[in-house]
Amino acid sequence: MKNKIIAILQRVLQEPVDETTSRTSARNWDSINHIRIVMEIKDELELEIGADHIDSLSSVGKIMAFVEKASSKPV
Amino acid sequence: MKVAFLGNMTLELIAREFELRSGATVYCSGYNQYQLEVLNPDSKYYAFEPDFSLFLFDGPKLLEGRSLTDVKAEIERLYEESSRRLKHQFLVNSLHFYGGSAWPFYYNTPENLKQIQAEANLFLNEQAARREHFYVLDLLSIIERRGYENLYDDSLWAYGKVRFNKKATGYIVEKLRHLMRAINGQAQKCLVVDLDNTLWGGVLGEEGIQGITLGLEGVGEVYRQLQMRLKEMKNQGVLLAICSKNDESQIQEAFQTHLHMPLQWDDFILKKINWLPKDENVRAIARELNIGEESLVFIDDQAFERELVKKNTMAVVPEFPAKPEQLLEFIADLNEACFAKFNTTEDDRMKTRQYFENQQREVLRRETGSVEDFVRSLELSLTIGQASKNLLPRLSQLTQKTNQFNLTTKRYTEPELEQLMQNPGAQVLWGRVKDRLGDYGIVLLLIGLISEETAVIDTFLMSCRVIGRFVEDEFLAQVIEHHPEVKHWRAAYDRTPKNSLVENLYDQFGFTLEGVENGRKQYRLTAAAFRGRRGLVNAFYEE
Repeated sequence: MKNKIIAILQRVLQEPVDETTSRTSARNWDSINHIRIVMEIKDELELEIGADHIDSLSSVGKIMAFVEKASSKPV
Repeated sequence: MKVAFLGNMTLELIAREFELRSGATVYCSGYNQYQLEVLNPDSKYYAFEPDFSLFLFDGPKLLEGRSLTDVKAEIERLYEESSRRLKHQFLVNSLHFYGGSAWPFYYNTPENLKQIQAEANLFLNEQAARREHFYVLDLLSIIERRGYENLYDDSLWAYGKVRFNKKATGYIVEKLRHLMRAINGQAQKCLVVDLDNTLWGGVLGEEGIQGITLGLEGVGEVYRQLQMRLKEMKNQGVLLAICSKNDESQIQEAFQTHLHMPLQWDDFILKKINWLPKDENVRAIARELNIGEESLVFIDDQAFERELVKKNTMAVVPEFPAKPEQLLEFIADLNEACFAKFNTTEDDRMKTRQYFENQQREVLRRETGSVEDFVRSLELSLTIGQASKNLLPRLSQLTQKTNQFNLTTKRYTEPELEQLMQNPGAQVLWGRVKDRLGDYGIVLLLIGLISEETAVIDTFLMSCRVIGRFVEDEFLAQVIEHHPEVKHWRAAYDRTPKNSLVENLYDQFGFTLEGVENGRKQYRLTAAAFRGRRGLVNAFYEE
């Protein structure tokens, strides 16, 4: 699961991504790519993500926490 | 190839996906900036000088705070303004109107969204027909196929006016690419088809011509429909070629003699029917037609052949559906992806319009003419005969499978029918129907039991293939006519959940209702009292 998320981010951002990557640390993580990341996660992990949660998914760690809570599975 | 994306929603995701898949250069207008971009001669849009401009609109947002008349005027203005300054193709999506709080069942009010949607898209189609370089990207067909619940992302829409989810983005980009290919006249030219398990089910060399799965029912009907689609494609200008490992004379005979083969030998411009490797045949086809291999599309049910042709030629080789019932959707998608094109010359455009006008005239004529005229124009012929042993399988099948036009729904196995025929008073009569367009086969059955001067109609049924062809009255009339020795006819209708269609059939034919009991209507008739013969069918009674 963690690897899936990192793979998605790498694919969208086209730069190296690890557990510490965040919206401020990554070079290409702009608003459009943020939406793309959310779109890919929704599609690949088949998750609902409410409009008011989208902004908060601003780092790999926060995404992992969200996915874990949403799918009630350890990431 | 330069493509600009403008509209009333966030389009960067679609533009980016299109860029990745097509390699084209894209320009994406800012959110909801389309009016400013088009009206401002110094805009980045004009500086980009696109070859294609795609306007993508969310329907309800486009309509917000104004009327459909305003929207139509705006679209015309967008086209006129942009086309004055650019030499481009103007593309706009078919509009989907959803949501809304108006009562959904009042179709005939101006506020009703279905009414608005129909009118808006009719308008767009008219614009595309009338104006050069104006095309409609059929978003609505994607929504019909996939359902907007599976395409629209409401949280992304609320968050950032992104209407489409990842899958929807993919479908839209694919359709856009197909449309652009068609506009650019980049269609493939020739469809190369295998025969066994492609144009029919089974291997002709093994099953024989009559043994292949191709006919009016079941999976055979799917293959028949597939052939009819291929024939339509050929009439639209696609070249058809055969590439099959078979005996050529047997195949030729199959096309000539099989009763339900819509395609003809002469529909194919080339026939490579031999035992050579298929990649060699495909290359030969390209050479002989003097077209590039990449202009060929090769379809074959066998993975081995597909791999061979894909590896050793430049032909387009799509995957083949796993199940025959998927073939019709497969060929429709293939047609759109590979063979779609537009006529671009003035002459062609005029011809197209004339063709459509003639079509509309035809439709009108057919609708205002009487049903009887139409049935007569079919030139129906009915043959009636006595059952023989070799027909038992078909007759038994008819009793087992016919549910709607079946008066007593008695099921007979072949041995049961055979035994019944031993009865000296039994008359097992079949009816076969043909019309100008084809042969329906044996579709009527009447079983009568004659004792002294009375005949009891044990079974009277008709296959649903010929319901509405007005043949049942002629059949019954002929049977009665050819049994002058019978003074009294008795018949019954036994109600089932499926045969309400014929509840009053005997009443219509002049039979007298004697009684009703437990869902069974009992009738009698003297020959002279028969009525309701329409005389629309030519009948031949085999003695």
